[in-house]
Amino acid sequence: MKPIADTLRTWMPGLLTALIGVAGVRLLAPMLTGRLQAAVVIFGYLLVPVGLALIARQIRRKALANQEAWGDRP
Amino acid sequence: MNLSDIAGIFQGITTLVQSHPSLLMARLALIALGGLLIFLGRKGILEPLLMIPMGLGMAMVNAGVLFLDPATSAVMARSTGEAVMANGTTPGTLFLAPLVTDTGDLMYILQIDFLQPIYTFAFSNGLIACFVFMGIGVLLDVGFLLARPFQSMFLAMCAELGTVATFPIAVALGFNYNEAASIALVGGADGPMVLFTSLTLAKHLFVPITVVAYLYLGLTYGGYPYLIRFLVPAKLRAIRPVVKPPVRITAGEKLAFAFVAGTMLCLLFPSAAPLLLSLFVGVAVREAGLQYFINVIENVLLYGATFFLGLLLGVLCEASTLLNPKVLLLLVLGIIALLLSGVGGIVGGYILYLASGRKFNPVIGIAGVSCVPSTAKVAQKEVSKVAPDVIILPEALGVNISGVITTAILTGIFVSLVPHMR
Repeated sequence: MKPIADTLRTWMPGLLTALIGVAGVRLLAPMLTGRLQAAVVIFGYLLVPVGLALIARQIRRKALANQEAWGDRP
Repeated sequence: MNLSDIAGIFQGITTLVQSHPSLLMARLALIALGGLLIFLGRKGILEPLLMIPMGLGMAMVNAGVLFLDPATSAVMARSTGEAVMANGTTPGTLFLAPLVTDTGDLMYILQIDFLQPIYTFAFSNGLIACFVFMGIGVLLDVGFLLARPFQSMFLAMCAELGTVATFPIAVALGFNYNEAASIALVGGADGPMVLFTSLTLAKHLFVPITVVAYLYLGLTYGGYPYLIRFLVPAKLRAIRPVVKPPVRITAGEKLAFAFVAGTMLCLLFPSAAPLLLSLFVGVAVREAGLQYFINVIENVLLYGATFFLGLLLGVLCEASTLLNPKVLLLLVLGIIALLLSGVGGIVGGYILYLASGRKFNPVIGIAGVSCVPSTAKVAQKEVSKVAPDVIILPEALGVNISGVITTAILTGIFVSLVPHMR
């Protein structure tokens, strides 16, 4: 179970953040109007790269942890 | 035989002499510019892969104007709105006719102009831009980005200053929102994105905008070193990056990241999906180790598309197509966009320099301008000049790759939102 939990921990936070951003822009924003719509769109557009950066950071963390566990550090 | 028959033999000269003085001057200037581009390409000052076919196309299309036969003239006159001369002919070329859109006329021109099939089926629908992007994808190692995600993303966002700031400047100068977005994207320093955006948002201006973009992208290699030297003192350029343990990201993780990032960005920006797919399919093919596909994309598609891109851009620089009062403004806005993006990247570098306790080399910031891999190489070259043993290339490449992704995001924002702006 540990590898699955580890994989989920690596991918889920960023994936969910990005998906919330997509849902905000594509699903929620069209139902809104005015400034609220603009705010949701901007927030959504920002959340997607943040989500991707989160995934990247988690992949890096996992890679470093593996290297450390295997005594692979220089 | 009378004088007009002799003039008919040398139609290139006759059409030149008979054209309006402004058109005559523009043609001569573009022939000279074509020669200059070939010279600068040969010398390595501008990108030779693009500039040599472009320069030759530019010179020859302006030299090769002839009197088209009455049937072709009628088709051209319908498309351009220009009057046919008394003898039923009109000046034109046998290269391509970018303004023909009617299906019947297009079918006729496809059988006359030798580059029309490539223009119609590969250029005007963005396929060539997508091929170039697949090639870029195959060359990208997202591992550099995954090794330093937030630093890379932050610098890449700072280096979009030109793209963001040029948009309102262009609107203030009288461009509509679609035109302004297309020229502002020159700040992203990504030729295929500029081509894609201008084809989508401002098709009537895509020739001058794309030519301006590619000319200036060629200049980044020559111009950015001066910007770096002007904004970053030699002492700061020589800062040695803090040595961190190398991060080994597996090919599987990179492939999975390409899948997630590509899908998320396509969900967000469906109108930029062709370009995003092209980029990430290149990354996926590389990380999956599909050597046959890598060879095809890297050696055939990328270089084939670059060759035809250069040739078509040159051929599109026919004086009558380019003679637009907005071209001068586009030239100014293009250079403003690239300059501001470079400044933004270096300012981002300075912010990280201060945030890291003066341990970060601010030159790395300029690699956020997504001209892959030119800006990363420029950054390393400038650092090597003052400190030959300092290596910043891995960090600069991570920032460079993030620059491609942030420019793709901004392209998506522009293509999706700008048409709805009032």
